[in-house]
Amino acid sequence: MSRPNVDLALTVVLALITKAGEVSAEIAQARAENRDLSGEQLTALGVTDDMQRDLLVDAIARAKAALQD
Amino acid sequence: MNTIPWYRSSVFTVGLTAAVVQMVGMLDATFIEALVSGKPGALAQLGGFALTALVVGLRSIAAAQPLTLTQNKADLVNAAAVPTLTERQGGFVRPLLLAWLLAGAVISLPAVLQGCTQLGLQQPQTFNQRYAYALGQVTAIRQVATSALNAKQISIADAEYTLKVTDQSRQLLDAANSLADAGDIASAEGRVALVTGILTQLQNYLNSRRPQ
Repeated sequence: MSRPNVDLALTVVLALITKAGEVSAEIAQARAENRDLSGEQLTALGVTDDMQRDLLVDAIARAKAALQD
Repeated sequence: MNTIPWYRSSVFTVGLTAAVVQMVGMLDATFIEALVSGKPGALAQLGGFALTALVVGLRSIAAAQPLTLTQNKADLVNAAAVPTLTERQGGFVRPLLLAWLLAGAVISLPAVLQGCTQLGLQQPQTFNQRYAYALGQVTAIRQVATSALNAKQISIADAEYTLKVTDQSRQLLDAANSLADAGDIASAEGRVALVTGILTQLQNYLNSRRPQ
């Protein structure tokens, strides 16, 4: 595996660990209160994903525009 | 011949990260008690880490054969060596360390999982929790693709492919959530497992892409 690929792989792993940590905090809080994750919490995760999707769409649009310049 | 500092070696960084996670996994009350009471298993485990740290450390700081070498392209051409390599890991160290990382990852999986739990990464147990984890994976991969595209590590086509697959994954997860709400937990669990498999493949795909 080349060095840039190692860097990209590490980025993916770190992002997944970070995201898992955030979700895990929600899970830990729900367990501490002796309940499962609520619908509101799951909806909030969906909203966060929608926002991240918008960022990816914007990045793709910007990259395409930069190619045309 | 220029030398990249040993602490900038990717292999060393990955090894160090794995060792830290493993150490966190080891440092629980049971292990410390076993160590204090001199149980052979605990001593052997600690000895293994010490030996590994010693070998990696000595190998890294050895000036005669550094971990990572940078060799001038013109020098290589003039010496009739491989002309296309401008940067490479030195000698047998790279395959040896990669083999060590692979073996260590397999052997230490239980300790790593234990370490993740102690670091706050709890294992999902209910459908809602597994659904939340999978949704977090979708978001994380979108985040990585955005950063990688901005850094020109992946192409526009790769980013669009990632967007397409993550959209499909999200649709599957939404369907799974609807099934769970309707009481069909078995089907819902199946869809979440399917998404997890797809995302793992996508992760591998992203990792395999070469920069532009």
